[in-house]
Amino acid sequence: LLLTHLYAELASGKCFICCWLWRCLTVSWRELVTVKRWKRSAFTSPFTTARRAMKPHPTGRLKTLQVFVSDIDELLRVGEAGQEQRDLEVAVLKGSLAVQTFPTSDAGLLQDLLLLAGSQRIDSLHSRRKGVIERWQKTARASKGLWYQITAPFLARPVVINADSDYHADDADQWVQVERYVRGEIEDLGGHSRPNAHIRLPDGKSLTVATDREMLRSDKVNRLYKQAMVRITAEYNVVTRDYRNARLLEFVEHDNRFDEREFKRLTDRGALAWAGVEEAGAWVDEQRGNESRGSGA
Amino acid sequence: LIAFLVDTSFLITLADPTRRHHSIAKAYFQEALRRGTPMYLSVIAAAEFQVRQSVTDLPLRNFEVLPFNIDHAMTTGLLTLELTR
Repeated sequence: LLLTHLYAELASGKCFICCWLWRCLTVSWRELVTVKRWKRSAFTSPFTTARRAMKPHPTGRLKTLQVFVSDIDELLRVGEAGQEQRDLEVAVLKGSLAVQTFPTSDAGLLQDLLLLAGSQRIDSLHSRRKGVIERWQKTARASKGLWYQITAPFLARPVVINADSDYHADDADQWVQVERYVRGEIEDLGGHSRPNAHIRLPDGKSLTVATDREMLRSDKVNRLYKQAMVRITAEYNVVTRDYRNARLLEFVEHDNRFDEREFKRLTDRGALAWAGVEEAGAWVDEQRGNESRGSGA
Repeated sequence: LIAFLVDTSFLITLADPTRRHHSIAKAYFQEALRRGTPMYLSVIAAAEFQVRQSVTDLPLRNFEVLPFNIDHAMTTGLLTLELTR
């Protein structure tokens, strides 16, 4: 949140404090600690703090900060009060990479934090928060000395995610292989080492599907920034409804033109094929094992 | 209209010109194409159509095929449960 604000302010050149913050960020993390001290004095009513350890030295890549801030944003924004949370004020704290929020009235967030403090089973968490916690747990396991901590006055003890913790969901492995037809706008195609296609779905989400280099090479249609129908395979989580390892099988040619010749072929053959069927609706009902309703065309 | 989900009886009526409502079905079909309204074809309806006529006779480029998978099976089960309560 802070970074997003920072970039926005920098771009507009309006905010002296943010410009100063930017200078500190570009120098080093140590410099950032100075900023933390300054910011802390402005926040005397701490509520919820999320912390990511940066041991042994408070240095790191800017990307780490971006990812962490993005995770915090995701933790805070889900739920009914999602819109409101965008304006939530945060502070950067001294020590580890940490973000502190003012009090919030989001009941969903409070409930999820209480759940986290009480158990390491995270099935009941909101799916987006669950995703963040799963990512943190995975990262903490992969990197010794790295830990995450969430504290709040109403929590009896802090939520600590480290190499020894085991925050997990029992539904996490409910992945099945599915095939889908997906329509969307192709925003990117290709790539050097891992060729893929970025598809903007009608709901605004972006889906990345791995592609075959040869398929793209032999495709004669320029599909970039156009609507397309694609057939994909993917692993689909029947509980969380997430996709992963999506792979493009083919571009499906979709046509909105009425082809009179094709339609005549359909009806010529259809007249013979359905000659013995009196009522279409009744015939379909029979196929489905239902009693005929005696209706239909 | 956002989209159509075409059922088997519609496909039969569209394919067989001797049906009473064939011209209406054809008009709906053409109007959907003209408006660019997606027409979804469930693979279940396709299977039923295939009983008497090949699915490849249909103008498949005009349809968007809807596969049936494990998640659809789960939803169907829950829907059936609700309907039978």
